[in-house]
Amino acid sequence: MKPLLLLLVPVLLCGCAVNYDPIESAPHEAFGVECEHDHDDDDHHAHAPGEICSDTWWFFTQPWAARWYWGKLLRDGIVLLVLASLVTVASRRRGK
Amino acid sequence: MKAVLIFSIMTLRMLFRRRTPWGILVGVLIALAAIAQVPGFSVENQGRFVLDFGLFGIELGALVLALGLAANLFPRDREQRTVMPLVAVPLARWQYLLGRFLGAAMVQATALVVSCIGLMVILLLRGIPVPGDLFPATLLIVVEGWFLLATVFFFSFFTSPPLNWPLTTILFVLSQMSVRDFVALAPESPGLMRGIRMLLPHADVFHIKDPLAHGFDVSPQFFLLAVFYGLCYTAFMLSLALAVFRSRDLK
Repeated sequence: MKPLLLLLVPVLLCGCAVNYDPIESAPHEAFGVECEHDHDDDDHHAHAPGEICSDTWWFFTQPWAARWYWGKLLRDGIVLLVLASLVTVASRRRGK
Repeated sequence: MKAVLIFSIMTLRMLFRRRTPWGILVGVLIALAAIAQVPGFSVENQGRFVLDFGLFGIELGALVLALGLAANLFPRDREQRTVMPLVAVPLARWQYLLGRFLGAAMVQATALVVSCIGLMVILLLRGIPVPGDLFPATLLIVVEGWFLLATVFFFSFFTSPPLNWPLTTILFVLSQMSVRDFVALAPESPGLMRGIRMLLPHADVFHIKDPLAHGFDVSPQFFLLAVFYGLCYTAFMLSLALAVFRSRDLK
């Protein structure tokens, strides 16, 4: 299992990159502006569709909307494919 | 690859003969029917709740299907001593694993697509418009299900089925969490928690039920990237499973 553990290091490196979380890596604009109204229990209000503010930013920082995050998916996918190949070859050699 | 295909079809037929996939499918459909019975109380956009909970139910179905189909496959083959003659002559170990995986993956995908059609029927019966992205959303759940299936195979080579269920379920729950929520589980050691979270997959990538329920379009580019990411993680988990399987003494 030792070689396998060593191979897992690149996964860590991959995740360690700055943009591994869509919320933490979001640009400032993704959080919109601060809502300027009270939120009493009886005070129900609706935001316009697509309006990003302090009430709705959680919706627009999900992966499907976080365009700044999509590059990480591609990069992780490629790294995982390389890792899968390495693990397969290493376990095959070890088996022989 | 011919041997893998033949073995996967054998696995498919074997799984369809079992009661487990049928029982889970019926369970998911009953849950969807129960969601449809929730009264609307004239609440505006009540269809959002049906769609949101329906897709959540299908996602839970993917988890239970992965566990129900695969947790017992290798342990049973080993117990009945069918795995030894299989990997001794006709199949290499990778062919055994891939054949079992593909057979289970086909059964799982079929059950999830049937669940999606069930949700669609429920939406139509309640007069709620069916979003165009419902099938792509289900396809993403299918990819997540395949990842879970590969994880179940990985655990099944070194744990018993009763331990496989909680391990996979814990992984399923943790991989849904954002970094912030995950760190909040143990705020006194944020460094450790961030390190652990880095190793876990980001299953929130497979969820597009929120934009669907609120009428937002999902970019095809994101959809393809999410499918690619899910398939790559599945391949990685399968390679780990194969490494463990190759190191196992089957005697």
